[in-house]
Amino acid sequence: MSTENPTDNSLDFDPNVSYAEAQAALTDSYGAGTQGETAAVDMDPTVTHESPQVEQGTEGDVVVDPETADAGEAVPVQSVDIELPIGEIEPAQIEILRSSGEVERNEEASGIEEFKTGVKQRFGGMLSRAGDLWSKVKGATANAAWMGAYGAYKAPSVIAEGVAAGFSAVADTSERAAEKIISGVEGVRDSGRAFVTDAREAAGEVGGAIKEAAADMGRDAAFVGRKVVGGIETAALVGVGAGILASEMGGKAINASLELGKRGLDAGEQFIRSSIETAKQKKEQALQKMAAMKASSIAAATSVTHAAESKTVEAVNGGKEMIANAVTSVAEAATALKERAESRAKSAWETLKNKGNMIKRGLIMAKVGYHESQGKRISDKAGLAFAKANKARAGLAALATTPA
Amino acid sequence: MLKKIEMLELLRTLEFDSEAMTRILAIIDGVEGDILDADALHDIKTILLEEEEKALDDAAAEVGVDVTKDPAIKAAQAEYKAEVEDIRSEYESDMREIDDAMDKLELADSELTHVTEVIQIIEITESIKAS
Repeated sequence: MSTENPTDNSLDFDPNVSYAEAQAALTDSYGAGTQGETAAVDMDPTVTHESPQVEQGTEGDVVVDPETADAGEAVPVQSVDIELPIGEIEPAQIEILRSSGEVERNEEASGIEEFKTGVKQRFGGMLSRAGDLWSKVKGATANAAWMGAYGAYKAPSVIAEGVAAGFSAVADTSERAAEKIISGVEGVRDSGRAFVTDAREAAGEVGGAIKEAAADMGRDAAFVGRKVVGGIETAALVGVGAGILASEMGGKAINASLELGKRGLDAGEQFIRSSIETAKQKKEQALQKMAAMKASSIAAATSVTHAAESKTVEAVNGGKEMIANAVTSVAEAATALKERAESRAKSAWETLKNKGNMIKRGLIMAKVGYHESQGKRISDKAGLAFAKANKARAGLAALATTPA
Repeated sequence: MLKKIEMLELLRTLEFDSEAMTRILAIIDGVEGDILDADALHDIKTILLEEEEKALDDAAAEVGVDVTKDPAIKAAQAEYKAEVEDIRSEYESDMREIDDAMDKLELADSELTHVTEVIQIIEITESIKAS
């Protein structure tokens, strides 16, 4: 920051200048004002207090109305209260109301010079006091400019912290970032308020000095006041212009930072959404794969089960058939055994009868032979009975040749 | 194989008494057809054996022979009893084995029936699942 052109109402703001450098420059330039100096801040020549951005006043605007200001009257400077909506920060719009009649910018310099010369020549001590007050005003103005510059300087770092926090915690840090931004803005606002208070006090003192000076000069206090006010206005405009620019640049920086933060949030959100979508797709693929494996397993298990059931049914049916065949075979075997036993029993019985009859026959024939050897005859009855037995025997002999 | 007519001719030549003749004629009359089966022939043989035995008993009594006390008769009777007993014992043993086999077959049939019921239950369950 420099003071090469003290009459130029512009602010040359270099964002690369550090806080310490800016403070040192401001202290060197404005820390100790001297009598007759013009409050000036070297600003960007392309930006003036008549910057087209300054079009419409809103609540909290700085209002300086020299037309209504009287000598010794405090300049009605309202408090600076710039509300910066988070997310959509519009450049602060401040309308500076100023008189277009008596105090013109071109006239200000000559008026001030005239005032300074007259006062210096004619009102020594009073002028010295006025000079002191003027220095205060100048210092306050410089402070205002410094505050704006500092705000513009500080805001990016504050915002950067918020944005960094926003990047570090994508999901929920936008609110924190916003709080930090608001905090930074509130800091700038509080500084502006302090400046206004100082300016108001200084203006009161200046008003008193003007009245005294006017009385000594024999001039209308209003005239002197308007001249002084014109100077103050100029200085204020310089400060305000610097503040506007600083706010504007701070707003831009905020917007840029918020935009970056928003992009970071969007990128983070997009990344998260992409990750979620990828996870969903993988989950869906896994589910489909599992469903396919499940269907395949069920089909295989069903096939195996059906095959096993079929085999089991076949085995059961085969077993039943085997059992039925076995039952039949066993029953047949039992019948055969029974028949064989019966046949063997009958045969044994016949054998017994044959043996018994043959033994009986032998005994009878032996007895008959014994009787004949003794000269006796057997009875006719015995002969008939034996003949009957022979007939039965003949019948048996005849049947014996007959196959069963 | 012996035809009924051939059996009747044989009986006529044998001149049996009325009782034996009546029993044999009843057997012949009970057989369907013209051919005497094995059972009929066996029954006729049995009657003839009994007729012979009874006639020999009468003759023995007339000539003074007591066949009931003859050792040979007793031995034959004992042999007959022993043989019949062997036949009965063997038959009963075989029948027990057959009964055991039948029991096992019935048990196997019961198991197969149970398996069949299980299969039916599985099929019904699968049908319910499928529906």
